[in-house]
Amino acid sequence: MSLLSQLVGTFFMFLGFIGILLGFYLYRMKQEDLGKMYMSATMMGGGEMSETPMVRLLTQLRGNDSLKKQRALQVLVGSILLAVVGAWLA
Amino acid sequence: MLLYTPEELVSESRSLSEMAVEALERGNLDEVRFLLGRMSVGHIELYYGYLDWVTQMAGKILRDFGEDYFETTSGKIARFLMAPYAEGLKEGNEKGAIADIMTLWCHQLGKIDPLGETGNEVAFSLAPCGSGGRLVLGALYEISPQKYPRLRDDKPLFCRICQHLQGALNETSGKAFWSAVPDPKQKGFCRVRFSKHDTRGKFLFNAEETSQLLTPRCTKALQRLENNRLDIQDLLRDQHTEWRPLHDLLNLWVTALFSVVYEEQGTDYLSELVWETYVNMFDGTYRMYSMMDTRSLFRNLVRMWYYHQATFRVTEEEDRFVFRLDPCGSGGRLYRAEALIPGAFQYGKGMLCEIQEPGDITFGRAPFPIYCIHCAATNRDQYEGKPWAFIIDGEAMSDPSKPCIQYIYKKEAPRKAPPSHLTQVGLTEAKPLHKEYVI
Repeated sequence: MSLLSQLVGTFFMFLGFIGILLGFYLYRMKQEDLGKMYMSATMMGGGEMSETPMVRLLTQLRGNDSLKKQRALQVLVGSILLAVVGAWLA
Repeated sequence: MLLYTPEELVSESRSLSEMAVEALERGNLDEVRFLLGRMSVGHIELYYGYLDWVTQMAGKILRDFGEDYFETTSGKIARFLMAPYAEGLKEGNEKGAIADIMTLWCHQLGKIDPLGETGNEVAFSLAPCGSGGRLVLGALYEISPQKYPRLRDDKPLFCRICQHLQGALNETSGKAFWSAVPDPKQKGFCRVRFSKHDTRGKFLFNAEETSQLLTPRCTKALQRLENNRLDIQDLLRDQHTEWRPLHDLLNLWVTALFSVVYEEQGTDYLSELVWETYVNMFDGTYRMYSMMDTRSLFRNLVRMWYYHQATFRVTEEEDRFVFRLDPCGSGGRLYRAEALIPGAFQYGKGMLCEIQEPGDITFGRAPFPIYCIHCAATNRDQYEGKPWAFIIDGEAMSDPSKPCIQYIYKKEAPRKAPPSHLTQVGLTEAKPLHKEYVI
């Protein structure tokens, strides 16, 4: 049991670390970079593109800096919590 | 070395829609679903290519001659293109006009939400718009303000072109019929309204008709499959022709701009316009050629030709594949007056003109169909050190009844071009491939 909780805890800490990086990156990201991501995501194709979650998210965040920061902070807080839970488990 | 047997070549030259029909007949529904996914975006590079090309050319005109000249030119082109649409509208066919315009948007790879119909209007939300909205969402006006300049009132350039089309239809038909207003709350979204005049008080579309109008064939086919219906052959067959109206409208816009530029600014500026926009954009094709193997390049080109509305046959030679385009889907169909509305748009009638002096951008021929100059320009570019991904025999379609001949060279093929092809674009020899394209 303790080995399993150590493994799960380490995995959560790892996810939390990745999430913190992602949140920080999203917080700092410029609108132009979001635009580039939108162009890449829609160019990949695959059907109803504007309905894919990634494209939907990028569409929401383009031009709405306060929403982008809000989402970034949510990711950051969520990731920190995940990392703390991971540390407790480990 | 030949890569395919004659039977394999026929099989590899099939359209995605033919493959899907065959998979359906075999009962392989997983393959049908896979192919439907590819078919739903089969025109993606062509459509986005046209979108960027149109906007970049408009941007160059704006930079070089100022806003007043751009406004006049774009307005002139819009009136020319909208004239056939206005005819139906003048006769009171408002339902047909709405259907025609929404059919264009239906293939712009954006989402469309119906906003409802009243006795006075029909409204839709482009959520987001797949053309002007895509350029806005992609931040192109911020990333490349040189290529994608905004107007004095900060309006995005492509959206202004769209506005000219609306204004032209309204002016030509004598009715304030079509308008599109960007959504202030959401970047790239736009509200389209059609005001009723002759049909005021009547309801033109029921929910089923609206849904049919806004749903592309691939989506309809997938919906039927989800409901365990297999009657989708009619939706699959020749699906690549579904976006033809939008394809042709963009093709005609380009040709009309070329014609105005040729008559008002001359051949040298026209050549500069093509080199700075189309030829530069073609670099993406060379990069793709460098990264892909010959078989994949061939398959990709087959798909492109189908979605470029061509009718063709393919043969294989030791060093290249030969596409006999009868006709080519853009320049060839236009040369035969088959674009958009057969007989409505043809060289020598209205704005569309032929170039009267032979030169490098006319394959040394005159009179020369002006849309095809971009092929001459990229031919020259490829002979000057780029991969031979898309070579045209400029003499082949010397009159509208003849087919155009296009070659894609195999990657390992020696760079030996027929001397006549080189002289067509003012060269005597082909340069070796630039190192940056050797991977």
